[in-house]
Amino acid sequence: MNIIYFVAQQTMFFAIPLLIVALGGMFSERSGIINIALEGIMVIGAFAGIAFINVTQNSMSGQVLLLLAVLVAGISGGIFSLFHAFASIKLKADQTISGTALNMFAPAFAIFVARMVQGVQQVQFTDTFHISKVPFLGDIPVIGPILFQNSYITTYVGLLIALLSWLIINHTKFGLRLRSCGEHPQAADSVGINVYKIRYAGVFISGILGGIGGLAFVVPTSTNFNATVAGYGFLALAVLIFGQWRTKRIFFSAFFFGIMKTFASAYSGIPVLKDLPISNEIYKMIPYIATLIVLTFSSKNSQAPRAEGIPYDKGSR
Amino acid sequence: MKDFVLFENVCKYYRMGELEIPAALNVNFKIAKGEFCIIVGPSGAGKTTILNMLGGMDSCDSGIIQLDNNKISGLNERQLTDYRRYDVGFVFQFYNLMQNLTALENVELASEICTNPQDPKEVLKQVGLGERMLNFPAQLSGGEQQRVSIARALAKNPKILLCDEPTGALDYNTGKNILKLLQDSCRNTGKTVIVVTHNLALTQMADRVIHVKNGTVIKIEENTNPIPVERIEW
Repeated sequence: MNIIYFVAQQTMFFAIPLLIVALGGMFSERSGIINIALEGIMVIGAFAGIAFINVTQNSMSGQVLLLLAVLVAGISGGIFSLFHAFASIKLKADQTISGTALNMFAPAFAIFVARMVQGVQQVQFTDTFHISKVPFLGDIPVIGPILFQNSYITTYVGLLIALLSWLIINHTKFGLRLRSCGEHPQAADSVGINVYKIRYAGVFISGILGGIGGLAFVVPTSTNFNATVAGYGFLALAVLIFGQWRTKRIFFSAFFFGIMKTFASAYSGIPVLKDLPISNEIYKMIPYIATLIVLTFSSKNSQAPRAEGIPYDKGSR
Repeated sequence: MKDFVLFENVCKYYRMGELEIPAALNVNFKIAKGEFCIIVGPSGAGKTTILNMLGGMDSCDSGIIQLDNNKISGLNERQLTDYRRYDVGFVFQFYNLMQNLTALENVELASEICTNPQDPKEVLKQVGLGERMLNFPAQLSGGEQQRVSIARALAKNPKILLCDEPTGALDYNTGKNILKLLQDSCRNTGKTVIVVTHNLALTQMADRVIHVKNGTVIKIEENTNPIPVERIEW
């Protein structure tokens, strides 16, 4: 039983950032803007969040500090994403190129600023955020150890974001308009929906969530930020595609990838796997092989938003 | 209320590099409230341009366009979006429905953004789709999809209903049914309806017929005795 709890807890550390970032991608892509800049946005969000912790950790600590850092990461990710929004909505640039530009810019920016300020590119932080057990809730059998022990508050932030995303996309006027802009912007425009405004909002939300996801990835898995999120932004894109741009499926695919990643990095903590005569490298390959296989099968009947990636031009109405 | 819709010396040019192609040249006409009006002419005559300018989808280069004493010419993009949202219902030749939304959601999309909407379910019943509300467009026939798009336009309670070749993609009988639905909406609710078509036979069903050719209005007919569409053959 303990092994199952261990795997579940480890999975959270990997699945939650993927979930948050993939949901962010969903907001952007369902409004019609491809966002492959998620990786760069995560880097910027993580950088700003960790830098904030680094600067303020002498005067604050614990959950308040982490929540404030989440806020900082979200805002900076949101602002960073506006570059992508401006290029692809206002200037009608190629969205893949604009996203790539952001991906290349972000780590360079993080390294440059870190070196200018403190001489080295790693931004250190002290992990005062680990929750060994949530009072009361952690004592619930089964659910307690899985959800409320050895966790971080970002886990609950992530689950809350998933619930809110589902509500917003499927059950609000804004969600309806967002979906219509990704599907048929001409028709949306003709009934009086401001396509540009909705798309800006979609990309901005994806920036906020991408930034938060970047921080949620770094905090549980490291003690410094080294200008990278290890390709998680791209993995989140795979989650988004495997999740068919739908909240519920993204939720499950994020956890699928989270478990794969857990096997890869924490297999030595699982006796059954450790005893198998398989080398370290094979385990490390699991998430990427799983990505390949899963996408091969699931991308065939893709339900991508129809107008995704096409700049909206009023003239072609 | 003679001048519910007013076009005064409206011009519109499309620029293709160095070339300026006139799509509308000194267009003048008036339409009264509650009229069923048909704009007819060969393709390329500028019918759709006129409709788009009236619907706020396109701006004119000179002249005055008014709807219900509000000037539309000269509004900026943001104002035009608001104008489309509150005052105009559009019906297109190829329906322009959201494929990933059900019929009901397609209508809600429009009704939820304006101030005085009709109940989406009621409107869908009015157009004869009470049973098909939860179907997606791909599960509906062409005529049914066009009904959804009419319901979407009507649900907003617009001042004016603009239809661009609404029967262009439909067969004879289905097309007739759609036109009957439009004519009924006009007669029963007093809504001003403007239909663009190249089919001259339809002109008998309208209160007012505006003939367009080469970007200008060549003739305006007023029909004192419009014929119900059921009795027209073409």
